[in-house]
Amino acid sequence: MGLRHPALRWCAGKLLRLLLVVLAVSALTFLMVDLLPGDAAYDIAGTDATPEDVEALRQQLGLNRPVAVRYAEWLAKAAVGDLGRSYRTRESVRDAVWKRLPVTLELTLLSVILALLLAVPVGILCAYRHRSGLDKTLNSLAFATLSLPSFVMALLMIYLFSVRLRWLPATGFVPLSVSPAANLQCMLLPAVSIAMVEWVPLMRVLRSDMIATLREDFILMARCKGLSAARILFRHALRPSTFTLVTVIGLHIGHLIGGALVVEWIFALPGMGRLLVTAIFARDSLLVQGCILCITVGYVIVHFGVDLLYLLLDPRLRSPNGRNVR
Amino acid sequence: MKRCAHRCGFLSFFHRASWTSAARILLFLPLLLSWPNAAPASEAHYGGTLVFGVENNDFGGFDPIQSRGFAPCDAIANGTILERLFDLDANQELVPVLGLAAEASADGKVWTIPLRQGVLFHDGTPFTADAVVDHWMRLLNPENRFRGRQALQPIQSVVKIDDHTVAFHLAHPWILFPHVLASPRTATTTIPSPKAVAEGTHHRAPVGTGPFRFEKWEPSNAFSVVKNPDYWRKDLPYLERIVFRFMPDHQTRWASLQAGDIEAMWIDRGGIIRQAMGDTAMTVLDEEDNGAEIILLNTAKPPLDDPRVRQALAHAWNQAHYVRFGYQDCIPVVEHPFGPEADCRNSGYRTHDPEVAKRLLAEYGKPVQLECLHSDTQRGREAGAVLQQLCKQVGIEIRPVGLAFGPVIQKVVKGDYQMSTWRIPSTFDPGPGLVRSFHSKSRGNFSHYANPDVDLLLQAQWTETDPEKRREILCDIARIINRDVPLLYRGGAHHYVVIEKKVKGIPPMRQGIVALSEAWIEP
Repeated sequence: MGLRHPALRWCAGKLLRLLLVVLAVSALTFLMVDLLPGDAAYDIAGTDATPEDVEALRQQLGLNRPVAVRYAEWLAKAAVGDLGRSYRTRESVRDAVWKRLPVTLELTLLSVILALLLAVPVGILCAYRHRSGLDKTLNSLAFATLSLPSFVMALLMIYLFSVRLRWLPATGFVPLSVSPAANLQCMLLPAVSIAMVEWVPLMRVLRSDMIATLREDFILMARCKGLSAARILFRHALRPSTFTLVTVIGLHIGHLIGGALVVEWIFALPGMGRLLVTAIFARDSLLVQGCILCITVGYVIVHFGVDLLYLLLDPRLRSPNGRNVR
Repeated sequence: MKRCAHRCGFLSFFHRASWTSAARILLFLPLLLSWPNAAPASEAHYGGTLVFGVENNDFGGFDPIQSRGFAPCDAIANGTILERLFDLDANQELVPVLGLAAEASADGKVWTIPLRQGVLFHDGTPFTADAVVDHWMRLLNPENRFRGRQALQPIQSVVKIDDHTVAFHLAHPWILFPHVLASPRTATTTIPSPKAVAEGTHHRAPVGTGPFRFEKWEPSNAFSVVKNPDYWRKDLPYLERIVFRFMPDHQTRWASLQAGDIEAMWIDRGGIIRQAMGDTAMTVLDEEDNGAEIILLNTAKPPLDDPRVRQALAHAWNQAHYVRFGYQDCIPVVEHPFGPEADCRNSGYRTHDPEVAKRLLAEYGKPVQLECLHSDTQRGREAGAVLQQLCKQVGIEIRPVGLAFGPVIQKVVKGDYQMSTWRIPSTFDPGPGLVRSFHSKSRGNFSHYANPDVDLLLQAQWTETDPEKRREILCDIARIINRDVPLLYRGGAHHYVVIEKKVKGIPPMRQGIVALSEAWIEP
């Protein structure tokens, strides 16, 4: 009844798929963590424990029960918002994820914004001056920065901006709610470390799409009408050239929600990447589940957003038959 | 290289205290009278925040039963909030803290300890004998499965004599018992608020009687404590706040210290330690301790069940080379795990000698292929690679296998391994650890080493009350272990903390722990 409208049907279909993806990923994660050698009891018990201590701990934590039983129990509790407690730290999984998520989201958004600030103008310029000396120089520079891993970039920037110049702190996260200025100071170097690597693929896809767009008839028409180069580039060519860019940004954001582990580790940021990797090494399956659930939902939401952006970018997709256009 | 500023081998106790003197009443009246009212150092300044760079990704919690044990920085943070019954001074003499004195019975099996009065926990509840008894009996209760209980095996019970006196009942005389109560490395010795423990909040929000109160814990980011205005030592602490910042990457930790973002840090990387020693703005606190990094050999698994193969491994292994390569000589080469002051003279340690290794292998007469588990860390990989290359020179084929800590522990506990990187931890008394690791009946004997002579010596060292005789027993154990080779030493324990020169008032390290209660920052 209420789903007769195509947009609502589309949204409902997307939500159903989201649910199925989350269920499938959570089941697979539970299984994979269970298949890994070792379990949380050995990590918690440490080297001082006897085999009896470990067995008692396994029973206490419920790790001696079959994986299917544990998964069903987790699923039932997760459905009402209870993600359990970390085996190792006894911290609520929901709280643990909730505390780390803003750090990762902020780092993700800031790094994507910085990457776009660099990628969009350079991509447009390179497309406009296609095969010129400028294009070749900027592309070479881009590949040079791409070839530097983010951790090398991070260490170089710490040395330059923290140790030598003392402009920015090397470590020490301050939440946005405590001090926006201090927060920006401590997030700038990590975000730039990621952006300096991420901007290159964004620039490259924009450049190649833009080159193709600039060869279209409607661009020729715009030129014939005497429109300025800036107007042609930004008003007429940019929008149809951003489909691949939007897709790649979506993938990047999804990837970064999983945690920019190396950067979080080097800058001692309390984000999702550190939480997830620590949980995996400790075989803390409930914490791993919580992290993966959050990342999966984040991924699906981002791609849902990307699909919506396609509709905004291309009016043809909004028509009932338009979805077949692309 | 700077030498150890303060040595803390447990055997130093033997030279400074004997059982007969310990059995006498130990009273601390002069200290008792002076310490609480001790005037602060004339130049000390109040206020300020000290930020301490911590190697951990996070703390593991403060309840000894729920946590897997303390890393050094966990213990440093714990020591700002909670207090022990006693401390030790630079001469290894007991100093009263929450306990006022330790009096032994004639047979040495009962220790009576009067407690300090007028002390409050941070939650406002009074510190009494009940708090001490509740804490210790909770650890000793087998149902709670406290994982450090084997080291406390001689303690049978702790009873309340009156509101401010307790008695520890031991199964046998234990020469180092008062020093057990003074160990800074473990949560065993610090007394938590019974209320916080009963309410289940102590693990994540510790409550003690110490100079600082728990303020907040931002997981994987920072753990902070603030000045306790009701602290019983009225002049302390000087600092307003201490923030422990979790910084697992050692390069960043060092860069943060150089940049002035933090004032102190824990470090175990040779290259950085050497840089810090050459930096005039820094002070390096260090201490050589007992304990050792080892490679454990499973003597029950062929071909390691043949002593000739283990001895060949010992002669193929080059500890000095590994210490130089992996630690830049910032930890000592050791021949036993008893610390720097246990001079065993001839310990029978098997030095690097490829020719002897080849001869032993020729006697064995079969090709030797072994798998060595190691933690999947830089340290673990280094150990695996160095072992592989050294053994290759004598014809032993080693396959290093890197795993996370949990799976390594699982395989070792189950006996499903041939060789594995492992550790003999630094502790107040290595005796209990030795019994656990090498007694044939011990459930923690993961090398499955069995030698009746060693069993007898292990029992004897625990009950021996003459310090010199005990030292000789331990050296005998070291000689037999070096002869039979159930392990290879990868270096001894040497702890380092780097602080900025402006941070003052930190006493010498003890068991790898720096006490921050009296620290202050020069303006």
